[in-house]
Amino acid sequence: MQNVLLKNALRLLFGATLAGLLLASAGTPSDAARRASPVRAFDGTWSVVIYTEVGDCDRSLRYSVRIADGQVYADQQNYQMSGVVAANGVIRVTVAEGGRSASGAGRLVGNNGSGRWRTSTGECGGVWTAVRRPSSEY
Amino acid sequence: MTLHTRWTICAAAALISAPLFAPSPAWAQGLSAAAKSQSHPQTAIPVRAKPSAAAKVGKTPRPAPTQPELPPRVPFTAAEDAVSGIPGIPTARFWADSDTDFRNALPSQPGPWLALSSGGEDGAFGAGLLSGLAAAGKRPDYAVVTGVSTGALMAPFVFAGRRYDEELRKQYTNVTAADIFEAGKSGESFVDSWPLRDLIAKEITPRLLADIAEEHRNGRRLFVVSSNLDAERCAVWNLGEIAAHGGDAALKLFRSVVLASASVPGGFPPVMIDVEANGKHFQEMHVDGGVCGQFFVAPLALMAATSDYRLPATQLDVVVNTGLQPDFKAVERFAPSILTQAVGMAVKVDTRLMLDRAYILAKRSGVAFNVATIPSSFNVPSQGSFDPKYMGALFDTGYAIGQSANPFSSEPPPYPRGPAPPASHIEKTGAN
Repeated sequence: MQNVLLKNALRLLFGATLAGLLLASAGTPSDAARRASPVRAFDGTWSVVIYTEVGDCDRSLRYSVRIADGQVYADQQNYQMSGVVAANGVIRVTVAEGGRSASGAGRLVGNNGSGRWRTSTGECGGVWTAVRRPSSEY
Repeated sequence: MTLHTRWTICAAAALISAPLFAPSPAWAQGLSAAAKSQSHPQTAIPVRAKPSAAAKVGKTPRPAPTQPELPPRVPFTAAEDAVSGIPGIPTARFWADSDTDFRNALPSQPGPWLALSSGGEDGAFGAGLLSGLAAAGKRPDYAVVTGVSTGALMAPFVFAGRRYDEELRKQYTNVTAADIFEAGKSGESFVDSWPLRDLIAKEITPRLLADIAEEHRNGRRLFVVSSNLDAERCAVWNLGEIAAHGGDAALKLFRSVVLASASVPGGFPPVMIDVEANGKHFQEMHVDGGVCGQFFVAPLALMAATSDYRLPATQLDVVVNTGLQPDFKAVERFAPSILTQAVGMAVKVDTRLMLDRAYILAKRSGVAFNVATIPSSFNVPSQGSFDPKYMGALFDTGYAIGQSANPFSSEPPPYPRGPAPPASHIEKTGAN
């Protein structure tokens, strides 16, 4: 099994970018979005699961993402992520990393969300779900 | 994404995928430091990291999300920890290096013993094997069942009897990585294990505890191992004793102990266990039992070749939930790759050495020795961590072996060797 671990690790790396895209808006928020009042209805910690339906990517992975004042962050300081959530919960996102990119679209409703994602090359694709969770407990 | 992030995520995947993570001191120091500062030199890679896009173009970087503060630990001494116990359940555990406590915890009558090893998702093999054994009517009611890491996850169900075999199968064939961990946590671990914690809470029910308690009262014993990092000693948890105590506190402790035994250090958060010593309350830090050895039979001093200890058992069955054969790979000069390969290699070496110790102990005791390992012929690819198709195939392989005429070997498998050189090489060098 060990000989597949690195491959798995690299898949997980790419999965992280996908998680980012799921709750991040399409690149940098537009000026209009910046001027608009922040959307706080979706603020909180979200747990996002991506499911691969097509392609040789991890079958599923779960990530923690945080939304504050309608802006999206990975729930880890190391991630570089940006985006906003529209007032109606609709999100359209793209993420690029290491020459690869992926896009996703979906919607948050209340404490749940769902949508679809795919890599730009069509190598992998599938669906994602999200659930708002309480902050981490220690 | 920074290189640090890449390292972190890859390492997390590596750790979770590995059957056990046995951290080197240097790496462990790096992790500890990383919890305090992202730019600690032990992580090395941040030195090479490029500035963020926002910094390069002069934009105001968005505020970094804040991480919840870890509460400070209550200070305690080695002397206090040495005598610490679980409030209200003083017999919940004993030190794995205590020969006396071990002997006192054993059944009054000899019987068959079962040791379940670490192995992460490869625990599907053991789950399948034991289910196959049961289906063939060849699985005894083991007098003693021990579990380490993934072995600790399955041990309660095996101990409680065949009526839990379906739960066992589901645990190892219906779960995905999303049911085990969530990436995105930093500080004391690369990923968060709340999904596994929730899964354990769902599966470890009051009914299961009641059934385990009944078996315990009948004289059978269920032990799992966790590693007390503070003390650098191994704890053996008497789960039957905990179950027999009953109540919400016992249920919570039972679940915590199982989670602790399967919490790969660095990958998963440690599990903090509330203890008491001389009226003082504090928490111990427990991690994966595999740090103490890939499976547990007896205190190491009793297993030593120089010991004359005899195991009070009628047979010793060991289920090894990991492959022992070398897996060749030209390792990338990249920390996670190096770490992953090193951990996998260490686990195999440790497992094989442990098998020898168990075999020697069994022979010395006049006890039949049986071992089952994942066959080297199993080569189903895994599509990521905790791939249900891979785990299902491994479960089926174990199940078929369990149902076969000879599910166990009576001796440890041969020590693994590298692949034979090609014939042309032998002709040139005269090697044989």
